Formats: sequence, structure tokens, C-alpha cells
Amino acid sequence: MKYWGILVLLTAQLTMADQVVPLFRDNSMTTYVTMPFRLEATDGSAVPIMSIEVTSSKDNCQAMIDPMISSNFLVKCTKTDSLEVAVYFKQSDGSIARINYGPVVVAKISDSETVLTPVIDNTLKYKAGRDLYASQCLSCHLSPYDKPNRSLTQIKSAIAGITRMKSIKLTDAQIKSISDYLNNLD
Amino acid sequence: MMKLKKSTKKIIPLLVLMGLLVFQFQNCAPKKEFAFEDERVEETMSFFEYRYTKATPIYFEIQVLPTTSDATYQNYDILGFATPSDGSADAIEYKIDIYNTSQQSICAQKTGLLTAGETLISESCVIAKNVKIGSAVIQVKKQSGGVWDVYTKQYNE
Repeated sequence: MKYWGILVLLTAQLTMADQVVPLFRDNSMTTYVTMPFRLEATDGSAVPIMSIEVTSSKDNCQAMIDPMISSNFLVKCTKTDSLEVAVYFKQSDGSIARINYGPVVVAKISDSETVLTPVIDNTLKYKAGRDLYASQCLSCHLSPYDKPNRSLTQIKSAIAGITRMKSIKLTDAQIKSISDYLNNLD
Repeated sequence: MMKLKKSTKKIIPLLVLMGLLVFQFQNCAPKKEFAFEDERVEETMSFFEYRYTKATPIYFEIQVLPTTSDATYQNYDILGFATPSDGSADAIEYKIDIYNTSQQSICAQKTGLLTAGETLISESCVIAKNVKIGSAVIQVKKQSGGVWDVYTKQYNE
């Protein structure tokens, strides 16, 4: 009898497992569409993702964690595939766990698979960096043309070394987006 | 029927327990070399057409697909996608416009409502063959309130 308590506890833990939820429903798993997914606990709360990995063909599909919402990730496929993704996250005890999603079928967006190709607009492409520059840098540096072609390392060094910049709190990804913007000024 | 010894009987719950433990940790099998996909985030931003600068309440996008045509007209399917980013089932209002390269509307505005659980917008548009699509614009907002979020996709087709 003494084992039943442990068994009940283990079963409860198993049913509390986290899950990957596709946010596009309606059979919207199609090529050329950026498909959002969310990692959540069974009570619906968001679970931050540490890393993701496409375990099916990487030639067909790519994945990235949403830089603004850590519990969500995005997948885009340029060819039909049987999509599989491994999602790594930290458990409450600090250990890293992995959950697998898929295989799920990513269908053709249409029979011909022809979609209009958008024109890449640099003002949109580097908008994140431009917005960050405007909010974090512009009050002192006045114009981005004052600091063109700065690398990620140069900006990091400046933030770490220049007294007036030490209050700036930016992630590496945010600094890189500023660097990308400064390296692609029109 | 063979009778189990008392000591053998005792070990059965232990075996069940071990079996459950093995089942629980099946995902802890040796991992592949870590390939942190998030390190590639910046490189793949344009691939994903990622343009959000803060946590977006709604993921949404638009695709324009040429379908059939005749000598005069080209038919297009307009596919829109929208969903709350928090996994909720809030209803979403949408508006879709198609413009030519001179920013003139070339297709009647499509409006509608994605009710709880719906995420796919399927519309169509017939455009004269000699007219180029300059942009497709999708706007979305939760029915419960908020401002319209806009995504403009530029074309030259």
C-alpha cells in the first residue's frame, strides 16, 4: 500500500506535462506562412522556451523563438514537410526538459504553390533596430549617421565602458538589431 | 496456476514504479549537439517576415496567391491569418485592402470577423491583367477592443 501514494504523485506529475499548442488552427499549417506556436502548461499558463530545434528536414522548415514573447515560437516552411520540433524549457526545479512536437503535416498553400513575393523594404527590415536607436541612443547621439557601421562588439563595449551609457539595459539580440540598423543606413 | 512467492509479490509495485520513472524521463535521452535555433533569430528575421517591436497581442499575416486567369483578368486568392498570441480564443476583426503601385485600391475592401477558434481568412480578388499589385494591407484588432494593428506587404507584381 505504501507505494500507492508515490504512484498517485507520479501520475499527477505526468498529467501536468507541458504542451505545444499551434496558434493557427483551421488547417492553417501551410507552406510560406509563418506559423506561431505556444508552449503552455495544462493550466494554460505560458512556459518560457530556452531553445528550439527543427528535428525534421531543416532544408524545408526553419524555427525561431519569438524575441518578444518567450513562450512562443514561429515556424516557416518553404516546402511541404512532416514537421517535427524539439522544444527545450526549464522546469520549476531548474532542470532542462525537452518536449517534442509533431510529426504534423505542413500542406501546400495552394496547388501551384505560387505566392507573390514581397519586396524587401529595408525600413521595415531594420525597424526594430531603428526603434531601439530612437528610444535608447538618439537623445545623446542625435543622428544615426553620427555612429554608422558600429558592430555589436563596439556597441557592447561602449555600453560597458562609457559611464553615461551604463544605465542602458539591452540584450545581445537588441544590440545586434541596432548594429544591423546602423550598418544599413540608406 | 503458478503461485508467486511472497517476496516476488512485494517486488511488483517496485517494478511498476521503476517503469513509470523510465516513462517519465524518456525525453531525457542523449540530446543531439545543441543547435540553439534562437542564435539564428536575427539572420532569419526577414525569412519569417518578423516585424513586431513589442509583444504582439495578435499574430497575423497575409499571402496573395495568383490562381486562374484569362486574356483580361487575373484571379487571386487572398489568404489572411490571425490569432491571439496568448492562446486565447478572442474574436478578431479584420480588414484587407489591395492597392496598385500608385496606392489606389484595386479590390473592394474585405472586412469580417474571426470568431473564437477561427484563424484563417479566405478571400478572392479579380484584377485586370495589366494592373500591378503594389501592396496588400491587413489590419486586425480584437473584437473586445484595442487599436488596429497594420501589416503592409509591398509587391511589384
